Amino acid sequence: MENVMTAIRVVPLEHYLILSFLLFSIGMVGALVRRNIIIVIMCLELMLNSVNLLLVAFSAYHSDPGGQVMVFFIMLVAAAEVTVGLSILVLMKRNTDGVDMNILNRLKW
Amino acid sequence: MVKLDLLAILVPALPLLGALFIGFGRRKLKGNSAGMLGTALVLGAFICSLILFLGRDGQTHIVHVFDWIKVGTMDIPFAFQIDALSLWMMLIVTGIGSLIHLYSIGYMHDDPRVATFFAQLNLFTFSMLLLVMGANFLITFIGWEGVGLCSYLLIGFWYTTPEFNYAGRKAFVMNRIGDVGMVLAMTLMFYTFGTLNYVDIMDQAGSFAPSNPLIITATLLLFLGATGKSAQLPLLTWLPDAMAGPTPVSALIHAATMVTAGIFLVVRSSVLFELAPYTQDVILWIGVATALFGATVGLFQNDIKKVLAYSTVSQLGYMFAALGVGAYSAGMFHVTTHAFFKALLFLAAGSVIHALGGEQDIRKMGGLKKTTKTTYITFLIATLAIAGIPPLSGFFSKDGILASTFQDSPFAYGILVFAAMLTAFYMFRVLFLTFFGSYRGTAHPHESPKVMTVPLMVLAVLSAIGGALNIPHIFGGHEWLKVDLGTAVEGVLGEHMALSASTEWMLMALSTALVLLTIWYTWTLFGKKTTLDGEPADMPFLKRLIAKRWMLDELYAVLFEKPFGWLSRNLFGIGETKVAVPLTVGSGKAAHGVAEWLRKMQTGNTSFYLFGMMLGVVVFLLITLFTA
Amino acid sequence: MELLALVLIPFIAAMLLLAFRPAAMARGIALVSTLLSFALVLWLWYSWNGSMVIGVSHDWVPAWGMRFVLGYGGIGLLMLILTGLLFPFIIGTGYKQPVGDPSLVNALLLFCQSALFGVFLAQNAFLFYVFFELSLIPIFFLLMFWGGAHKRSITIRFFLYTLLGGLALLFSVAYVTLQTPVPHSADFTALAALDLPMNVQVWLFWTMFLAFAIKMPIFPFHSWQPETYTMAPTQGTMVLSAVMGKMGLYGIVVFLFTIVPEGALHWSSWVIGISLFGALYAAVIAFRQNDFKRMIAYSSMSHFGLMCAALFTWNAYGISGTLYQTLAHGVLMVCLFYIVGAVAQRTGSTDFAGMGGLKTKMPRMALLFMFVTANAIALPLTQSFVGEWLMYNGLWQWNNWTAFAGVALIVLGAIYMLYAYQRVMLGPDRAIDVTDADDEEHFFLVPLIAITLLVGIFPNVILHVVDGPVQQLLNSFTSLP
Repeated sequence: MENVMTAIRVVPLEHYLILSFLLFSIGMVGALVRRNIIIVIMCLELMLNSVNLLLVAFSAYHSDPGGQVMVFFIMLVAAAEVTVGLSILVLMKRNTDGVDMNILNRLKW
Repeated sequence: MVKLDLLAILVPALPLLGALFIGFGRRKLKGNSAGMLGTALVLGAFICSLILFLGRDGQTHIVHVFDWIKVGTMDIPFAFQIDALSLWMMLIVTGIGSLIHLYSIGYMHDDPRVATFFAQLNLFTFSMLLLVMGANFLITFIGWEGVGLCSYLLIGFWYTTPEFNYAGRKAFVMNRIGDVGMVLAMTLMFYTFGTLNYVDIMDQAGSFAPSNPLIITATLLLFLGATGKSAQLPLLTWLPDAMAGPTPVSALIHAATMVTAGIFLVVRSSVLFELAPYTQDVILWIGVATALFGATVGLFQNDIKKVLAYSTVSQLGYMFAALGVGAYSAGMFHVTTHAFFKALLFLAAGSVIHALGGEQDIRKMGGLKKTTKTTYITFLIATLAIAGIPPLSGFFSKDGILASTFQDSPFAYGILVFAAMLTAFYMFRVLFLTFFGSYRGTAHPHESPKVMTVPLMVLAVLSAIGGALNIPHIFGGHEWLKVDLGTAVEGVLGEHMALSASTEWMLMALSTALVLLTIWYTWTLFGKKTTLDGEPADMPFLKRLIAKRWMLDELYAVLFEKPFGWLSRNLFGIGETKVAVPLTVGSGKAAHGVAEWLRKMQTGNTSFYLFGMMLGVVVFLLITLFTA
Repeated sequence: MELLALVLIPFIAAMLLLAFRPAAMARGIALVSTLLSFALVLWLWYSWNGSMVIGVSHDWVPAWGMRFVLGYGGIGLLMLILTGLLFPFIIGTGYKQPVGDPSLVNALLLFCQSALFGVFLAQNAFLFYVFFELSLIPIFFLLMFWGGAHKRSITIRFFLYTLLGGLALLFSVAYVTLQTPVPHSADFTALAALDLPMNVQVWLFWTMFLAFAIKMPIFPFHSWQPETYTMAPTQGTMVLSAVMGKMGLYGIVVFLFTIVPEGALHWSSWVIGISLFGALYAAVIAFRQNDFKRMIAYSSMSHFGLMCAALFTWNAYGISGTLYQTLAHGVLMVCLFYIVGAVAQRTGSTDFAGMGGLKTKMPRMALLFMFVTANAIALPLTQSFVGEWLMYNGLWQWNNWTAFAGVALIVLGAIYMLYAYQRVMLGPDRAIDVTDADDEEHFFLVPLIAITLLVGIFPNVILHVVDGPVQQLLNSFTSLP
């Protein structure tokens, strides 16, 4: 375990920050502009994982396991979310023969 | 004492029993039985009053029946006050009342609702007795409102005619306007004295300086109440309209008893009025103005009951003028004699109306002297009495008032003498047009039955000799009524005639001569008329104005009735439907509108939601950044 | 225990009605239940010794000061008498003027009675609030199911409007509870002991007063009232005007006068001003109404204005008079709305245009109506007179000029009531086929009229109940700065 920590600390913290910022931005832009629901879900996952990366990095640098515990929570929630999201996706595919998520705006009001 | 208590409770209880019994058994009582029962009970009350009266000892007795309102420091007992004043009024109410009940048996004989009539008449007698017997203002007020209600019911007795109902409502509402004064006066007096018992208030009033503003306000408010009930300016227009009721009602309620309640009230609270010279002046001039008003309007009326109604207004004005100069016994004396002769005039008029099958227009009468002899003679006696011809009762009472006013204000005296001449004119005009000349109508006149003429004869005797009650010193009398009332009413014994005997003789001779002159003039105008001239097309302005009753009804319609109706309609039409309700509904609509606008943001475009979310996060981040 | 029974009897009876739906016997069961409650109320009255009685006291949500406390003093007792006395008559109205499914209607009415008993018994502000709002729900359904024209929009307006006031009340209850020392308590005794700062009382007054002003209602919070009264079924209107409006007056006494007395004193001239203005305003409007029921609705509003004004005069006559008048007004409203219903049933609508000249065909009903009219215009020896007389005294002691405005009501009252009487009963006979008041209608109206007269002649019976508590209340005022 200790060597993992050391391995993480090999890379400077700023690099983690920049990387997760980039990953998060890619995820967010993807979620905002893409209409394919699979892509959107993947983008969401990307955003979550960018945050996970950041949490682990900070956790290692601060020697505080709390951050890693939080990562497990997030992974759990992400798994649940993907389950729901993919079920919707499957149903959408069956019902509308497509995965364009703007078709869901018929559900408004 | 037990006997006095019992009798005092019996006096109002008997008519109340009658009202309840006849009222609830009105379908079972056939024929004359309702009338007989009602008359007998009022007669019983009269006998009780008479026993009380004969056994009086000059003291004030308080008969406590039960505690009525007791809360906080307010303690208002249901109690009667038996003294000379209330006994005298009780005698008038029950005495004249039983005669009029008797007369009504004949007059209302054919009416299908005769039992209802007697129930209401008994209820009226009960209320009037409470009014005069009450030991505090609030008990008097019970009777005060009770007579108002009975008056309303009886004016509208023939309820299928809308005008009669309107007249009843008008009477009640105008009385209520006066009652505002009465209620406020009572609250003020309770606030000032902490009690409403007459005895206690009159005791405590002694410690107030004359012209204390509280006392002046209280007396003015009381007088407002009196103007409503006693039909004085400006609240008088209901009384002539009240003639819509059956004639016995006009006689009992709107001439002999109820309308004198205002005078009774002022006499009852004489101590307060003595302390308020300003109010006394107001009373004097309102009384004088009303006397003149009533007498002038009476000149050109053609409905026999309307003439008598305006005459009543005018005579009540005389009584108030007497109270205004502090001559309480003269006022009460006139109340008494007026009750005799005005009740007689109305009953005789009723007899005439009965004889002519309901005709009330004197232009369609005439020559009834021969066909209705008893009625004619009694009517003549009453007319002579009201005109003030010696030695009939009206002469003494009216002369007492005139002499008292002369002392205080010769100008008022002059107006009252002029009004007396007008009185003689309109009364003899009615007499000549009704009974003299030849018959101008189409009905078949016949004399009324005995049950109606007997009360006429009794009242005629009383009208003739009633003056003996209070013969002034210059005729060698002892002013019996004044001495008697002096035991109960403060300030009566103190009224001393400062006039010299010769002045008094001169005044008397003057007014009598003027009245006789007027009668002669009236005779030349109407005495031998067999046909009537048509109304001239162009009457002088003043005459037209008087014939239209000084336009007072029209004035009130323009000033009050129409604006009130307008206000009522528009407060609802604008205030409620255009402002209040739209405001409430509008607030709901506004919420609805905002929601309608906000829901447009729910485009259904997920990216848009995400964008909003991101924007929110950024905004919150910026806020934390800049406030940290 | 008997206090809990008072709340439970109608509740259980209502549940039974809902469970078994005995359509034919529903009214009978409801009537028995209300009579039982009334007997219990009479027993409470008889056994009352003049002091505060606490019957039930349980913790509920201790952290927030919510406790289940039932009890009554003189003022609460008067309200219990009012509720207990009038509900048998309100249920009885259903015999002659039925609406809808009898099981459901009577169950709703009984739920309402249960909640009303709860309001008048509650000695905890939260409990009061819960019952206060609970009473609204059965009425909502009653109006929604069996109302007249535009029932949906009018009912929703009424419901939301009163709910608005209720929420303001909830806020203020929560606020004052948090001001009490830990452990918090929302009991009235604990709240009365609070000595809130003046600036707080000044605004807190309105959050409480709003609820009660809307409930009564007084001007300018009245705009739900005329239409709701007009379209509601007769029984609903009776509950609203005769009993539920009184919750407002009762609430003013138990909330405003004990928790924010200085605030109430601060605003008293404003409240008296708007109440009296509203009383005159409604009385003027009543005169020209073309609908009998709406006219009575405005007259009720006029009476409430006077009562509310007299309550804020801070003296024994004003407060005792108002409390006395709650009973008188309740009896009067039940009588009047019953007559409206009875006449409308015969002529087919509540519009005056279809009435007039009915006296010839229905002389007995005319006589009964005359008695009720006499009460409405406060003739002496009827109940209303005593109340009004005391209220006028209260107003006079507070300020002479308000007494002038108040007493003007006796003229306006006579104007609109007699005009209404004339438009219904008097005039030439109409060629319509109506029957006179029958035995059932006599059985309903005669006892109420008898109460009107008896309590008018012996008002001390009622005044005795409120006299002591009102003195206590006033003594607590005198300790104010």
